[in-house]
Amino acid sequence: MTAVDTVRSQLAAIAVGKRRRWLAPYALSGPAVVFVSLFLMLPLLMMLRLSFYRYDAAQMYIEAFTLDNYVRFIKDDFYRQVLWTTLWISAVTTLLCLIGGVAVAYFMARTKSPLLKRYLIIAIVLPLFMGNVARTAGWIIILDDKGLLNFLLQNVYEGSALRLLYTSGAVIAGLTSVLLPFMIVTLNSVMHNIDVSLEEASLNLGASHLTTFRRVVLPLLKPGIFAGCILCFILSMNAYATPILLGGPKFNMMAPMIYQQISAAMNWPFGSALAFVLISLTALLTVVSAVMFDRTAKRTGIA
Amino acid sequence: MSYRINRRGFLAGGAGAVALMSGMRGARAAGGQVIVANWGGDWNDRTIQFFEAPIVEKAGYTVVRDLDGFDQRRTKIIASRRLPRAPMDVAHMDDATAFELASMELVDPVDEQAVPRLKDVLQSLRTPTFVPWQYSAWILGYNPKKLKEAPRSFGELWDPKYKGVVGLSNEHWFHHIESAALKIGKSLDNIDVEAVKASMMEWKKAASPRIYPNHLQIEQALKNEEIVVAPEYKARILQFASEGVDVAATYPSEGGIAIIFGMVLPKKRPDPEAANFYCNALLDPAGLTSLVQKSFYSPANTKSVLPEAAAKQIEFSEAETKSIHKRNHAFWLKNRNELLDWWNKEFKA
Repeated sequence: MTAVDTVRSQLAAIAVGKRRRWLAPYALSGPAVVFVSLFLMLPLLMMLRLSFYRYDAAQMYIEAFTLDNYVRFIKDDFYRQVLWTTLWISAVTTLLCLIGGVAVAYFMARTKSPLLKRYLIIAIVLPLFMGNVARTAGWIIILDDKGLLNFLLQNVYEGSALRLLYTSGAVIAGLTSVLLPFMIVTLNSVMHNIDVSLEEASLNLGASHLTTFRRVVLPLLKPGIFAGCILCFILSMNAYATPILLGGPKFNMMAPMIYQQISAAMNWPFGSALAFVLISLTALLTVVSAVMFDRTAKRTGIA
Repeated sequence: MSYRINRRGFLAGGAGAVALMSGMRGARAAGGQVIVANWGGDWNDRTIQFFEAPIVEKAGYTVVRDLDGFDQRRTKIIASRRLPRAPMDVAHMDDATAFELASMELVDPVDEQAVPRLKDVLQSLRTPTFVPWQYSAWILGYNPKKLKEAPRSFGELWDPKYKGVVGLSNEHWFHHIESAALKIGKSLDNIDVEAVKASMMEWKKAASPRIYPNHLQIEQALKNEEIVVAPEYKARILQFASEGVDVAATYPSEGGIAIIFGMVLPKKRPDPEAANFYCNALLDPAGLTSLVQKSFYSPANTKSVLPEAAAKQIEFSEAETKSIHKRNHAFWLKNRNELLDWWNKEFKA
């Protein structure tokens, strides 16, 4: 084979490569698509089907197509109240995570000391190494009737003991502490990419620190805020261990209620219907906020 | 001396290794493998310590452990009913779940010939599809330092003098309903749902019992002296006391409510013989004697004899044993869904 032939065959190979390049994304994402379809979509579809079955005490469920389970949810004040509690707890938790997260992420990005920065990152990531349950157990020790907070309240301030555990406040505190690292980590990556000279320019032009933060930093931080809020909101909508441990038996959120229907009541069709209400609502709220964010982003040109 | 691997040497070595491995598989298969679904933690540790390691594994079986909660085990058995094989040979269960699985025809009857120690098990605990292992009863626990007199019955807890000092475990909601049924009707065989509901609401009004998520929080509340009385399993009360909580057990005049732990044999289990061997091994009298002194449950095998002090502490007297009520599983299967809804919406509200 001459040198000319070799070059020709190499060029032909490159041409084939170019022609097949469009296939690459599909080929690369193929395994993930198959995996997700098989292990997520298929079970979800099976659960959707189950939510239309009829409950039967002896057989557990009878194959049918009925909307009874969804009608029961809509008609029953108790379950509607459970969903409402889940929604407002998640919203408040997300808001608190956002407030705490923005402050910490801003401080982390702007601090000059590399040692402090490293320490902060470790302090934020370390709690993620522990399970939710262990962190929540810590809150029980703090909030218990004979816990740390009540001990301080009674002995230092000489006040009377407060019921702190098994309240919605305890759940919000627990969820916020569990989810705050997710918000900080998400915001931190965006905050790092905001050029400090933009803030300096704003200050140089006479804006106050607050105005600079409000008019320069916050708009640039919006993609991170959006991602962090979505993450925290979804995680708190689906929270299980924290509401069970800190909310107590009289506090009802959706995920523990679904578990109770599946495991204690053995009413799989109604449990599945509750699960689908939760999934659909979370997905709907996520999509609506994504659309709203997209519109604002286009209007303000930060996308 | 140099050593070179040539093609023939490699093939010969490879063939030898395959032969050796298949030989080892054969040797292991002589004892076989038994897949056991069990609770984790202390429960599993003690099962290994007193039965699986000294008896089952010593006999040549390899015990494969699938550790999880009972509802996960129940779910696995139900979900795998259409599969050609069950995911386990033996599943540890409580009597209520064992009944439920039997009513769905998902477990096989236990062959007394293949599990010979079954004939020594307390007859009152047995059902055709269940191997009882250890049992206790739902009775009353109280703080003897705070209460001069022990409460005498479940019914006494309705008295306003106990207002705010009785703790109930939410996880055991059905036992509280059963206690009310015993207060009204003295039996669990003919529970009048409406009368029980009315009585429970009276209880709530008169004595406002406090509700805690489960055993752990009940123990904590007893320790903190937030509560001074708690209906609980006798075994749990003894466990709390052994951990330093001021609590004593008292037997209610209506009779206790049975809790039986044991094993079921799922249909289409991979190795029925291994499962039988396992069940028989777990009924070993000496093993049970050691186990129950740690778990505080009573041994189901009548051949298991406890030292006098332990027997006095753990076991029920003859009169008490006679008055323990077996749970009405068929009633619960039928009414569980509605009563749980009522418990959540009305009693806990």
